[in-house]
Amino acid sequence: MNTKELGEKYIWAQTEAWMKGNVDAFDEIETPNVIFHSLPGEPLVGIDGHKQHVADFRKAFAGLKMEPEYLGGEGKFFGISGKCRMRLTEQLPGMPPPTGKEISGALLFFCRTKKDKVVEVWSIGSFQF
Amino acid sequence: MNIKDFAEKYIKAEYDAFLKGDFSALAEIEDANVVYHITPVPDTVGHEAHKQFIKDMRELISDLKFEFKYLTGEGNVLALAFKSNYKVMRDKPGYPLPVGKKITEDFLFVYRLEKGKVREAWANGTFTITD
Repeated sequence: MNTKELGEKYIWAQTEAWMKGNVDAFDEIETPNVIFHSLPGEPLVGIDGHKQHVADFRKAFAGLKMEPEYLGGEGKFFGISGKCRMRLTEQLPGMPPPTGKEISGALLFFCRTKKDKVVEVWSIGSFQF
Repeated sequence: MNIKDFAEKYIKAEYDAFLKGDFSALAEIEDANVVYHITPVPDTVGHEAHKQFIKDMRELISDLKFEFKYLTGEGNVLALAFKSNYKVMRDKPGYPLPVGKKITEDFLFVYRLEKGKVREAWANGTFTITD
C-alpha cells in the first residue's frame, strides 16, 4: 500500500469511528501499541486508549461534521488535515463549557507507518468558539 | 543532506529571519513559490510573501522567544513542533492577536520538500494568553 492509500484508509477509519461510533475500524489501520502525541500534552499509548478517547469525546459532541483531507506523504510518513464542526453537550478536558452553540475546529495529523499500519501520530488542533 | 540535517538548517534559517531579520539562509532553502497553510491566517504564497509575513510579525510583537523541535521525517516530508512566547505590541487586520497581552503558541508544522527546498508547509496550533 502506498502512502496515499494508507492516508485514505486512515481517513476512512477516523470517519467510521467519529461519525458512526465504529471505533473498531482503527484495528484495520493502527498497531496495538500506537502512540499519539497530542501536542503539547502527554502522549496517549495504545489502540484501546485511542478507542476510549474517541468514544468518550463522541458522547459530548452533537451534530458532528468532518472534512478530512490527505495532504501528502512519502516513505513511512503522511499528513492529514481536518476541519470539523460540532456542538458540545458535556464538559470535556481542555474545552470550554458546553453552550450548545456550534464550534469549528481545524486539526493537523502527521503519521508514521510500519508494515501498512500507523504506529505513531503527532496531532494538534485549534478551535473557534 | 538527510532530512534531519535539512530540518536543522531550516530551523537555523527561521531563527535568523525572526530574531535577526536576516532572510539570506531562508532564501536558500525555500522554493520561490513555497506555500504556507498556517491556521488561522490565510495561505502565504511565495518566498517573498513569507518574508513579508515574518517582517510583519517582527513589527507586531516583542520579547520573542521560540523553539523548534525536530519530530520525525523521511524522504521529502518532515514534522517539527514549535513553541513560542511573545508580547503583542500592535494590532493588524487579519492577525487575531490581543494587543498588550503575552502569548504562548504551541504548533505542529508539516513540510513537503521539492528539489531540496521547502515547497509546501501546513501548520496548526494553539494560542494561549499567559497574562
